[in-house]
Amino acid sequence: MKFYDLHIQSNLSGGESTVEQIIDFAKRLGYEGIAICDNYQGLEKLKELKDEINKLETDIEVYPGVKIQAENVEELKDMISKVREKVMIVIVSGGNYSINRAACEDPKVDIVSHPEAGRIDSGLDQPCLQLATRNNVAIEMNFREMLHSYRRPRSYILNHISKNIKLCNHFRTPMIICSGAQSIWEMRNPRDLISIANSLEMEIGKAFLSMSSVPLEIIRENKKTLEGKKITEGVEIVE
Amino acid sequence: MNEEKRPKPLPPSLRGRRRYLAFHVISEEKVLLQDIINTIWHSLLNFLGETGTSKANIRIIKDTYDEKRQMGILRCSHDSVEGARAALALIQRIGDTRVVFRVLGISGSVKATKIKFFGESRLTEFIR
Repeated sequence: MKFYDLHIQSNLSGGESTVEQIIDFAKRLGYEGIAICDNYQGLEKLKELKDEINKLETDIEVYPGVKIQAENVEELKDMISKVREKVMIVIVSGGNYSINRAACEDPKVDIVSHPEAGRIDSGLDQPCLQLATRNNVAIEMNFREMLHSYRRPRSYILNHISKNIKLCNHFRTPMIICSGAQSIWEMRNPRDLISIANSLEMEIGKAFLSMSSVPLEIIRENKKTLEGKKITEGVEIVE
Repeated sequence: MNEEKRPKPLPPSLRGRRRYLAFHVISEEKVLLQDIINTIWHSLLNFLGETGTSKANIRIIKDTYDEKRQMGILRCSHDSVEGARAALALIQRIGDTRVVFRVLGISGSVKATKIKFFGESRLTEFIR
């Protein structure tokens, strides 16, 4: 089975490890592909990341991506329209309910990252998940958040993630497991991340899918859009 | 001889079902086995809790630890493999050294684990 991690940050945006180190370590852990999603800091930084990736020769698939951290909904929409046609993966950093909901509403968004971060609830509700299912936006289970919390905060985070898993199951929303790593020491074996999801009451089969077929589907759809084969939802150019 | 009397070993049908996890510690610097054991127990107790850990029936098999490659074997009950694996994945430091615990795989006996993941050979392979 091929595994993908679509949320890793490099040293180009506050991370610690270089793109080369990340790729080497991902290969060692058994990933088939990764996406390096740096925080959005303008289009020049994005070009730098793309050049860095193109420069390296690798055996695994490496995609450029963007993680958007917006203060309000208008800013979020503005940023999405700027970057959508330039990168493979668009991740929205969640936590704020209105941002979570706006991200679920937008079919241009691929992943809503840690919707429960810094909250006293799970950050998602029924309308959000219905919208996410309709627009094919995946909800992320972020491993880094668990790794850097301890005792009581960790128990809250695990509880919220477990709630989101249950809701996603109910509404058939795609769920994706990502490491969210900012250095190679925060990356883990794909099978170990599946075990964590499984201990948070995600079925083992679904956990496997959310590390393999869900990310693969996102990549495939975005490839079509970037190559100009997909015109809009349901309209494609077939050769 | 004043040997301590031990209870008879249970028949296989009454013994708990066990699984053996082979793990590899990737670290910035070399780490000691005792520190690894302490950290694993700490993480297990934090993640699974005291009752969860007692049900998991955890043992770290010291004799099988390969110091050079930093590889070892952890025993647990067959229904708590996922929990043990998750607890290992949540370890990020041993002392001040950053580490990544990588589970190489699971097996049903120590012997099979050694053959599968540590690259040990069977005795029968040397015949002829």
